Amino acid sequence: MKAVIFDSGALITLSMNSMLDIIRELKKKFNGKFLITKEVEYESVIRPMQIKKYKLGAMNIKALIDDKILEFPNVVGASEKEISLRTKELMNAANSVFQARDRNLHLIDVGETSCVALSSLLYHKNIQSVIVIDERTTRMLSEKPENLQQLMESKLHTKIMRLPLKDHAFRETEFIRSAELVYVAYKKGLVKNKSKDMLDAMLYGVKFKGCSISNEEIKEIEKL
Amino acid sequence: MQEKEHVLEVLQNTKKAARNEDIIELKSLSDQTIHTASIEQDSDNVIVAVVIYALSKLIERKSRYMAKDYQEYINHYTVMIDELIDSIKKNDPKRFQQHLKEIMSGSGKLSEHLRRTIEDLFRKARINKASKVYEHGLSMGTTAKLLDISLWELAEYSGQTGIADVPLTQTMDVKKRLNIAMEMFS
Repeated sequence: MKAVIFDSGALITLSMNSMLDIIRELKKKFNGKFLITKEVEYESVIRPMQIKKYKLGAMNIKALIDDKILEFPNVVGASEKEISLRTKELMNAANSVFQARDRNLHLIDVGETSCVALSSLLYHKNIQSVIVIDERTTRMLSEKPENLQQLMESKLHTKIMRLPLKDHAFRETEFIRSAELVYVAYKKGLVKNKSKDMLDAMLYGVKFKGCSISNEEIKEIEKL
Repeated sequence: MQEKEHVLEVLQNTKKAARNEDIIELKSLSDQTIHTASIEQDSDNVIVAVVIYALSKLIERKSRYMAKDYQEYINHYTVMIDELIDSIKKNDPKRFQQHLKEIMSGSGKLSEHLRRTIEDLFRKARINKASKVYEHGLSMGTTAKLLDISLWELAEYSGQTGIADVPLTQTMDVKKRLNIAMEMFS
């Protein structure tokens, strides 16, 4: 069994680009589950349902849940209570890694952390998982915290102290972005228009709706 | 409220800059507050940054508003900034927060058009400042909560900025990440 865990940002990016069908098509080829936590459902569906500008996008994501393309973690035996407890532990760990002016920097919040919490619970159930996340802070904290420290020092114009991230869950988690999901769909022939222009359009589409991918990375992907 | 002295100084400079219609100085003062707000994550600091930025936009777009309406709102704004300064000096956080709300809601005599414009101005100022906070390294979720905006608004706005093009944000080789994705779907 495998699982792909979706963070809110990736769903939002794909929805705003009318590319949610990619998720439907990928699910048909995938031998596992596509999961979202309740926290992600709140951010990507429940809250935007109250905002006229984003209501349609939220309803399109909700349709994926209604059609059981996206499922809640109870289908793989991870309860809401377990996820909530693990989320709190991980938030405490992550939000005490960096300090500025003698205080901890609260870097990540429940939505993003609940995805890492779920990934950590799945790891202990021997279920291989990957998180699709478009925002860069959680990814940087997990993969290269020293880069995040450098970035914050340059932006905040203050010395940032970095302590070791005690919980292993962040380092054990693998991350991809909506851009990689788009690439997989394209390579597997799941996108009707198979031209290079289409790949270019999709990659820039996700970039301009919040996927943290650089122009240079897009160019590299397109060369492959 | 955190960093009271800093906020006091910023507000005093804001008054001066508003009087001189110095838009660049106002934007710079707002950015200074955002540095502090990103560290302290104090909602009052964040709203002060939003209020100053909105003021800069209001002055920048002065010609779009009816002169009488504009002047009335600017007067209301400057009186409220005086009140904010006074409430910090008197160490009265409740009054400070009340005045912040009053700035954002406008005075009672505003035309319907200007009232709606001001609401929109503050909404956009929140999103702009959220993008700045996100740029400083906080996650999207933390930022959206701090500025009380939705992730949809933040994702849409930040996607138009160069935040993702900062080389430090690339934390893994492109091919390696693609391989993770391809393997998952193999």
